[in-house]
Amino acid sequence: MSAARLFAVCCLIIAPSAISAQSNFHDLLPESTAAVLQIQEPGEILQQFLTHPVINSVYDAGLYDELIDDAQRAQIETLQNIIQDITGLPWEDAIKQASSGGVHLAFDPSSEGVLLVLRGDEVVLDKVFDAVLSWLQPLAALSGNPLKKGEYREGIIGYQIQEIRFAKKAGTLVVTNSRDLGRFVLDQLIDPTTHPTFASNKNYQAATVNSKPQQHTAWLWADAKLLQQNNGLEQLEQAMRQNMLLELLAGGLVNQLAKSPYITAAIDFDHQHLKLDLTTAHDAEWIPESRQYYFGADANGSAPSLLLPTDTIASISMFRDFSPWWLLAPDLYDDDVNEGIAQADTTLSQFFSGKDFGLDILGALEPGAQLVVTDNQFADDAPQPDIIFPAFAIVGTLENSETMQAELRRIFINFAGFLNVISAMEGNPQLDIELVDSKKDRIITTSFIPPLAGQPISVQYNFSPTILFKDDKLILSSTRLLAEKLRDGNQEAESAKRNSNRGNWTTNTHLTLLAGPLASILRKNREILITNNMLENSSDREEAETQIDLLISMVQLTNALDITIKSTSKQLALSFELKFQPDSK
Amino acid sequence: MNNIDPAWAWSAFKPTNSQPWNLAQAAHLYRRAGFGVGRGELQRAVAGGVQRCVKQLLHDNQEPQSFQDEMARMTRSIVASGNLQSLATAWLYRMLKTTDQLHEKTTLFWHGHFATSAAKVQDAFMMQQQNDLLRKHAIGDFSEMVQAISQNPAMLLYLDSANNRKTHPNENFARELMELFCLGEGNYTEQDIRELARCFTGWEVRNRAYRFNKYQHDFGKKAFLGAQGELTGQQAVAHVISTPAAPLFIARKLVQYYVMDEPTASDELLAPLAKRLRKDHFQIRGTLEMIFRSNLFYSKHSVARKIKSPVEMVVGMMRGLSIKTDLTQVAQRLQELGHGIYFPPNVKGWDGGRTWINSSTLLGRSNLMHELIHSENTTFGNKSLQAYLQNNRVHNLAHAATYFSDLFCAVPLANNSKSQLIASAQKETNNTDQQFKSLLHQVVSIPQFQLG
Repeated sequence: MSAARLFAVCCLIIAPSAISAQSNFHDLLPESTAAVLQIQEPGEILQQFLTHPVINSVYDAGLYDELIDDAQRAQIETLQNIIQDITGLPWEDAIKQASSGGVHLAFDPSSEGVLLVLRGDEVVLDKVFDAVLSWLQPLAALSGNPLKKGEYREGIIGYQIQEIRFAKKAGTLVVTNSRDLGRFVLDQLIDPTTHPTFASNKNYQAATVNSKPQQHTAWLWADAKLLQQNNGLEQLEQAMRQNMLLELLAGGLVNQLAKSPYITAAIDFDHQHLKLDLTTAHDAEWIPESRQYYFGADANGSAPSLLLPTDTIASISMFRDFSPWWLLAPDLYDDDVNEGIAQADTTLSQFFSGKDFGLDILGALEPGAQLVVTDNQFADDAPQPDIIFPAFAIVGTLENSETMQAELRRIFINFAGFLNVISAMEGNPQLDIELVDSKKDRIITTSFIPPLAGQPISVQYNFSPTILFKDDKLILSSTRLLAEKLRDGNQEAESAKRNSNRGNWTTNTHLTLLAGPLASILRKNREILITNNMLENSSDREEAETQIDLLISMVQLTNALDITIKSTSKQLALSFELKFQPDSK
Repeated sequence: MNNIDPAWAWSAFKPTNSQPWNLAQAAHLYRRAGFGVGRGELQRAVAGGVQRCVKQLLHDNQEPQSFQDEMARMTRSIVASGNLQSLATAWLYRMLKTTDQLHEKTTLFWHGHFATSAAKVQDAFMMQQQNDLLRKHAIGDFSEMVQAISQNPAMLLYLDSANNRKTHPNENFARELMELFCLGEGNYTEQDIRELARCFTGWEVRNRAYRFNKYQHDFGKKAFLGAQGELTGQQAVAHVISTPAAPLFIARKLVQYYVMDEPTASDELLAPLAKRLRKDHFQIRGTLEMIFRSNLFYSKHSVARKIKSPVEMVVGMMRGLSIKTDLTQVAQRLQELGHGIYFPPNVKGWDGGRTWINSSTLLGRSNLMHELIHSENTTFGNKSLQAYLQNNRVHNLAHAATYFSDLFCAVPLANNSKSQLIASAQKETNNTDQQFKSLLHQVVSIPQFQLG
């Protein structure tokens, strides 16, 4: 019943409003409104959704059947048939016409009301409304919550099921959980000059200057106080204080969220991509000293180019100044984390011949870091383990290249020797070390000695740890092949294709995930994935194979996921973009 | 027990009007010779007769090659990951899915007999290698199995015999070979241990494999258990097995595992079994056949005279109701209940019998079954329990109580017990599926269910 009711409400939402083309949505809302969501063409979205290759794959794989039981499916199909019978249109077309004026959602904290306003073709909306009513009435009665009906003003009929109230006036459908909010909107529809409205909200007006709702599939504006006053930010800040990685990735966003008067979210969706842009106001003055490592002293730190060697699964590039981050850790983290950092600092300083790790070692790196993860490749004669781990590498730039090269080379060799001692004690394979010096670069690489015949090939054979120096570049890689790829590849050109530095935006962080190589490594590990599935579900092999192959095929329907953090002097944006395979239309 | 006539005991069971071959007897056979089956298979077993059923268990239920290949691929993946817990989960999976329940049940028996813990060995490759060895010989040649286990790297590591030098012979393996593996206490002396240990000097483990180091082997004359000479390790093992105490010892352990926990069978009662073992040159299958066809097995001396181990309890219920769930969780819970496969508690394995039950483990068993039955990951033949039971023509709680009793209880539930359980399930919830689950949980928590 709940899913069916939700669907019904969605259908109602999609229904159109021809009546008040003269009144803007924000003119209908009370001044105290704190969030609005605008969907310009819901019928088009529905069409895109229903015909999307990923959705079709989900349907073909039977996952839809697992989500919705037979009774719910029957109710939905009944509603679709009623709509088609009453409107004389295919149900998708009926909904498209009924919602041609858009769907708008709002939240008003003063009344704790959630509002949905739907506008479209008046004639079709009336028919769809009647269809939904005739479908909903018996269901509501059966559930013990019969549909109530009453007249408001000027012949407007209001309906109520439990706390959900809805009414229709000349092409506009209003649904809300708040009587006061519903009355306000209906009053505005009848007499638009009655009350001060949300249209006068200065922050909303400012947000629409930089981001146009009508240019996006859906567009959200929210008063940042909603987040600031409901412990949301405190919880986020607390999580950052306990998690070093989270702080490094997203710490810079917290201060801006705390100060920004609003947040906007723009969503774009079609067969090519699904994109979400979250934007807040941005001001260099809001950045405390402890987080200057994140944006740089001028609040305009730019991430280095994104590394995209062949077979890249994931790549991240970010502007971070690690030395001040390490040295200001007591201001960023809780005591237990700082205790760990202090211990690590002592150990690492000893490891680096007594040099101060935060000051001398991290200080010798220019701000910025690049991390790349690729599919792992093996030479024909190399031992290949049954479980394939991806290869990964970190790339940095040395400020004092000559001095640091010697230091890091010595540390790396010491570390390989240390690993050999540990491995010998535990019966694991030994590392062989090779040094290659050329005019172009210097490589110190290691490889595991092949196992004896009949012995299992352990997961260690995924790795051939390598350190490579080229000019002032430092490449620390899990495999020699990846280190050499990064040395030889034309990274700048590849990166430029994905560069998100556009206009006056500066990219602070850029993460990309590529589906093709990800699917490749999943295929290579298909056997262990099947095994895990069999054990976790007690499933037969055939069932497990079907599920894993479905997972891989779903990954292959996508192309890439990009996540970026970028800023101008006035705005800060966090963007997610999931790209689908271009040939999967 | 000492009053039982051995001739009667080991004669073939012939059903009579007073002791028919029925659902209860068939369920008893499957619980002991395997883990349990569903109602349909029980009905087919009754229709086929006891002799045919035993023959199937012993000879006709071999796993298809495709299933063996699947299991080999699964264990290879797990060995590659090095995850010891997953090895245990994979074995649980095999117990659930195998067509050859007797073979797997007997492999579990030998795992407790030649107990080796992954907690000490810490190597998935060697542990799986030993498991494959036990499975290969489980209902085959005991002599070959002992010879193989004597050179098994996991066993040698577990008993600290990976380095066994002639100047300092390690007595652990020699002691356990006689005390726990072949003869039992009282059938050897400390001098026998010292002499036998000399035979195994130079037996080492290198690169996860057995190696004979002739420089560390004591080639001198040894004297133990009546044998004398420059005996090698293999010859020593063969001599230990050839002593009269060996077949009696193995027969006693088989009877304790398959027939009854208590009392301990007398030598007189075991003599015919021991004789059969010797006659079969220690081929286990014939002795098992003698046990499962015997009057003793279907008598009051055997029925409900064992306590289910946690593995028997869980796998039995899962097989009985075609349950699918997250086996990694189940394996973890079994370990917490003291029955972590691949992780026996010590070199003696699991004591079994009454030691499975105390106030703490009884609660733990009930909690484990509750988690399993009510888990969101659990399905019954890929359905809800209610739908599964309806497919088996069980439409109400009264019918379900009888259904569960027939499948799982060595002592049938009395009508007043059923009524109490049904009333309790009805009181707990109004949801029909939840009522069936509640009833099932109550049935598997009562004392009758704990008996094998």
